[in-house]
Amino acid sequence: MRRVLIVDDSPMVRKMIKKALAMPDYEIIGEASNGNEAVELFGRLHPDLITMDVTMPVLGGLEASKKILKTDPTAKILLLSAMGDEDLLAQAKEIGIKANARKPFTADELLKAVRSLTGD
Amino acid sequence: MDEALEKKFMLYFANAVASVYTKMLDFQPKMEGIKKEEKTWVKETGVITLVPFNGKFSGRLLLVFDPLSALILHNEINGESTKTVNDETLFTHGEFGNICAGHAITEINNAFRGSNVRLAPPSVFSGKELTFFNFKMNHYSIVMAVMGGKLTLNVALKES
Repeated sequence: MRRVLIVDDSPMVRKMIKKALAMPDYEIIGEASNGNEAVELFGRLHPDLITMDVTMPVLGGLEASKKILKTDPTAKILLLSAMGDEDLLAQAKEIGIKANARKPFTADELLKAVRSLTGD
Repeated sequence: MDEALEKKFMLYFANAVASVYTKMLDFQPKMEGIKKEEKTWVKETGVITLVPFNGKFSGRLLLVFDPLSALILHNEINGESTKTVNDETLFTHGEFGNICAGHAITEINNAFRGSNVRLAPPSVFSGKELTFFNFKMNHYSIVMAVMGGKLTLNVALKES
């Protein structure tokens, strides 16, 4: 079972992700609504996978991912964003983020992106 | 920024809103018109999402749903049957606006490499005759027919 930390400032998106991952393979162990909370929860909970929004108040997703990957370079982060321009994706890749999915995503699209990261 | 380029940008936003709306609600909006606004302000009624963006091109997107179509969007996305605007309605519209703006900005960034346009978090308003004033930016309105009523996009922008 994969332990998942959901990071998004939108309750609607967090709900969509939980619904898509509501299966025996995944356990949602925490939710964060900004990058600072994400970094704190990552340190405490050590999830197998993080779904990470980009635009969030307090601390954004790219900055939070950088902090998380600095403490654990093996952390698996799935970037979920409405934006998918080449410069952003290049920035994400440079930070060490290995997978991304565009919003709005269907449950199947999200699962496919998650599995590309976990190798399931 | 010349008018031809401004209109091109408006189409990025219009196409983004149409494609996101179609994917999330399984309904294709119909574009009814685009016009450059002469006044420096707009006055709107309904549920209004404001998404700012900054970079080489900066400005803001306003998405204005009339009250009925605003509730339809909330209910369709969340699988509910709410009859009045509530906090969750506003959150839903905020995220919808964020996604639409993100799609438009993606197209702009890909067409104009190095622009590095980024979104700021959205704000959502609900009310009657709310006035939005534009400071030193041209703005355009695009009207679309959506489920239950009308959606008006108002985009203000400038080249930094």
